Amino acid sequence: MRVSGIIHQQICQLKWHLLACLGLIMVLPIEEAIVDLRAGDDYLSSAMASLAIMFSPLLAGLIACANVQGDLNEKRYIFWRSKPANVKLLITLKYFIGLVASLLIIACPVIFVILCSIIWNSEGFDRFVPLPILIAIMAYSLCFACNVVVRKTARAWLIGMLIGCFVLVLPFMLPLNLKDFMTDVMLLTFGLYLTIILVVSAAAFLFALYAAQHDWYLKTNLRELLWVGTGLVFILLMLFSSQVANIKVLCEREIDAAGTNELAYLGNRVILNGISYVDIDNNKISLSHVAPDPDTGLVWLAWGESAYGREGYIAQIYPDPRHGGLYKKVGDEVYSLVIYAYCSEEISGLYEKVYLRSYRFAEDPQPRASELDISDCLMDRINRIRIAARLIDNILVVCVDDSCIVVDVADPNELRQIDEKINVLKDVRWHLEYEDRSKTFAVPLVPINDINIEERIRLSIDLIYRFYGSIYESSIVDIHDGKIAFFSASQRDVARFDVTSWDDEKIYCRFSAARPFTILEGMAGAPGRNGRTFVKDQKLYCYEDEQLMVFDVSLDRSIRKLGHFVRMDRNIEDIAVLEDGKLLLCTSWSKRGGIGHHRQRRYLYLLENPE
Amino acid sequence: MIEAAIKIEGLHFSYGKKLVLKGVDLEVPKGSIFGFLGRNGTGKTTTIKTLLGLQKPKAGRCIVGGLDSVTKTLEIRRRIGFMAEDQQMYGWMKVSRIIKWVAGFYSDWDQKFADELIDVFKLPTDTKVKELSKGQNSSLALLLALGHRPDIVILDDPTLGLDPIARKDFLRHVIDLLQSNNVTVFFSSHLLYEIEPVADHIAILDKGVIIKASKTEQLRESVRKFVMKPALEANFSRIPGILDVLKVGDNVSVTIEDCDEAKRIQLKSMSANSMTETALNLDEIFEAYVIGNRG
Repeated sequence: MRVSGIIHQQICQLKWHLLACLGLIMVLPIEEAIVDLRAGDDYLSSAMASLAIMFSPLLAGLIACANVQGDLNEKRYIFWRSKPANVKLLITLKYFIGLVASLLIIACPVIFVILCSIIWNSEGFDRFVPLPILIAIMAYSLCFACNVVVRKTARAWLIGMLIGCFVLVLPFMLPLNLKDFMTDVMLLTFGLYLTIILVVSAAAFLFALYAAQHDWYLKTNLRELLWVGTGLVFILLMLFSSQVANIKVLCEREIDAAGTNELAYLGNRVILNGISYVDIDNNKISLSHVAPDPDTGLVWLAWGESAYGREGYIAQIYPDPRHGGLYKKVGDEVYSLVIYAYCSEEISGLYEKVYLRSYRFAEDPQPRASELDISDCLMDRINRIRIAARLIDNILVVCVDDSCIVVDVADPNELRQIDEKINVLKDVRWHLEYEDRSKTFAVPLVPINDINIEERIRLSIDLIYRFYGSIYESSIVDIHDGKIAFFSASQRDVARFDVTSWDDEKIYCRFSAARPFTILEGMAGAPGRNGRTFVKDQKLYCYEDEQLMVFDVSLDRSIRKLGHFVRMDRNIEDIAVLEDGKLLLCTSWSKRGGIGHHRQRRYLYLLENPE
Repeated sequence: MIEAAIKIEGLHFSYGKKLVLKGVDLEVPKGSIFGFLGRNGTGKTTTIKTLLGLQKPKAGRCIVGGLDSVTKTLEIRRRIGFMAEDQQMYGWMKVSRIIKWVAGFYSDWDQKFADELIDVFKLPTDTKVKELSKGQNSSLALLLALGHRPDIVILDDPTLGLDPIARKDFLRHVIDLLQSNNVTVFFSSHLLYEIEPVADHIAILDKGVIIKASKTEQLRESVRKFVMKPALEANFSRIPGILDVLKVGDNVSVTIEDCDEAKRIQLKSMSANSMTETALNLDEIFEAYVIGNRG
C-alpha cells in the first residue's frame, strides 16, 4: 500500500470540508475585526476569536465525520475494501490527517489573535483557551470512532458529541466531590481532565481501528436515535444540575409584606423587616412578631421618630430602615441602634447634627433608650454625608464622613463614647476601584485601637470596597487560619485578594485568584458590581436580581463554586446565613397587568447551604 | 478432477434474525466463466461479500484460490479482481489519479496492461470520475479490477444500469480480455440473456440455496419442454425432475430437467395424442427453476 497516495487522497478528500470549517471558525473574528477597524473604537476581535474557539469541538467533530464518511460511505467502502488495503494503516493515516487538519483549523483564530495583539496591541487570549482545544481533540476522536461504526455523518456527530458531553460530565457524577466546572476542572483537577481527554481520545482511536478492521457496522434508526439521544441528554442534564447547579430548596413560603424585604441578625435569630422573627423548625419557616403590635417594628419605631425629631430639618437614618437594622439583645430586651444625621431644609447638604440613638422595644410610646451626640464628626462644609457602623461585640464603631467614633453599647440604655478619631478617614476614598491585579496595593488602616487588628483590617477593607454601605450586616473579608483575604465580584469573575502584610497606617494586598463566570452564568445574570457580596464561614455569597451563587473560599489559591440558585422571575432582595448554615432568602415577584395595575408577591426561601 | 477456483461449502449468513444464505454449496472450476444467477434479494451480493471476506459467515466456509476467506482475506483480495454492482468510486479524482491510487494497493500492478486497457476502453484520463458516463464508469471499475492481472475475477452485476449497447460492449471486452488468459470469472447477474452467451457454467440461487449448478450447455440439453393434450389419468408430479406444469387451453406444457428417454416414455404415456418437444433458452430455464409450478 502506497502511503503517499493515501495521504494525498485523504487531504484532497477533506479540502472542501476544511475550507468550510475554516470559514465557520473565522467568520466571527474577521467580521468583528472589520467592524472594529471601521468604527475605530475598541478592538474586540480577540473576544470573538475566543468565542469561536469555544465552538471548535463541534467543528472538529464535523471534520472527523466528513473524514470517515469520505471512505466509509457504503458503496465507496466496498470499492476500497475489496482492494488489498491495510485497514489499520489506512484508518491510522486517516485519523491523524484529519486530526492535524482540525488542529490547523483551530490554530487559525489563535494565530489571528496573536497577530492582532501584536499589531493592534489588543487583548490576547485568556488562560482557558487550551481546554476547548483539548476537548476538540476528544470530540474529533469520538466522532471519528462513531462514524466508523454508524457510517452516517449526522448520526455519528450527534452520538460522538453526546458521548463527549457524558465523558466531561461523568467526573461530576462520581463521588469525587467535583462541583465547579471552572475551578475543579481548570485548576484543581486539570490533570484528571487532561488524562480523561487523552485516554478517551486514544480509546476512541483504538476502537475505530478495531471496528474498521472487523467491519463493525451499527445500523441506526434516526427517529429512535433522536428519542434515545433526547432522553440521555435530559438524564445527563438532570444528573449534572443536581450535582453542581442547584441549591436545594427546603421550604418556600409566601409572606405578606410591603416594601423591600430585609433580614437582620439578632444574636442567633433572624428578624424579617424589623417586625418578625423568622424561625425554622424541621425545615419549615415560621414567623412570629417581635412586638405585640404587628404594625410596629424595631426599625419602624425609629423611622417614626424622624418625623417628629426636628422641625426644619431633614433626617438621614443609618441603617436605612428600608434596608435593614442594627440590633442588640441584652437579657430579654431587644434594642435597635440607629444613627440620625440632620440636614437643614434650607441649605441642602449642610448637615448640622448627628446622633446615635438606641431604641428599646417596649409598649412604651417613647421607646428611645439612649442618645449620643456625635456631631463632632461632621465636616464644616456642604457635602454628601457618608455614614457607616459596625457592631463588634459590645463596641459600636461609627464612621461619619472622615471621622470615627467608638461607642460602648454593652448597656444600650446608656451609650458611652470611648474614643473619637476626627478626620482620620480622609485618605479613605469613595468608590475605590479594584486595584491592578498585577501589583501589590495598599489600603488605609482605620486607626482604632479598641478593637483587635483583624477586625480593624476587616473594617478598613469593607469601608473602602463596600463604599461604606451596608457593612453593619456583613463583610467581604475572610479571616481564617491566620490568613486574611477579601473578595470582589465583577461581571467577569469573582476575585480573591490576599492581605500580605500591614503596618500602622496601611494594609498591603495582592490579587491571588479569580474564578471567571461561565457563559451560562453570565446569561443567568452573574453578580456584577451592583450585586451584593459577602463572606461568612469561609463561603462567599454573591447575589443579584435572580441569581445567588455560593463559593468555597477556604482554599488559598482557588475559588470553587459550590452551587447556585436561580429563579428567573424573582428578585432576590436579601439573604441571611442561619446558625446551622442554612440560607434564608427574601425574594419578590412582580407582574404588571395593564396600566397602573401592578401585582407584587414576596417569598421566603429556606435553602440548603451547598457544601 | 477439475480444480476449483472458488469453493463454497454449507454457507450460512444472516442479517440480524433474517437468514439470507441457508447452506450454499458451490464449486467454480478454474478457468471457467461462471454465471451466478438469482433474482434480486436472493443473496448473490451477500455470497460475493463473503467470498471477499467483507463479512464472516454464520456457518460454512469459502475457499477462494485455495485460501480461506475468513483467515486469508488480504491475500485473497491481492489475488482476485472485484467489481461491485453500481460501483461508486471517488468522484473527485481524475481517472489517471484513481488508477495510480488503486495501483498503490498492489505490488504486482501491471501499468502497461492498465495503459492498454485505457486504450481499449477509450477512457479519458484527465477527466474526473464523476464526469464519466455510466459505461465509462463500469469500464474504469473493470480496469481497476484487472490491472494487477488477477487469476480470479468476481463481477457483481457489473452491467447494472448500462444501456443494452453499452452492456454488450462491456461484456465483449470482459470475454475478450479474460477468456484468452485462462482467468476464472465469477459473474453474478439477474439478466439471463446477458449471461447466456458468455457463461460456460451456471448456478441458480433462490431463497438462499443453490437450486441448480451445471455447465451451461449441459443445462440447455437437459431441460426440455413438452406440449401435449393430457390423458385423463395423467399425474405429472409422479415424474422426477418436473420443473413446471402449465395448462394452456386443452393442452399442458411440461418442463422437465435431466430429460432422458425414460422420462420421455413416461410423459408419452400421459399424453392423449401426439406430444411436441422443444429446447429452452436460459431465460425460460431460469423461470422454470425459480417460479415453476411443480404440478
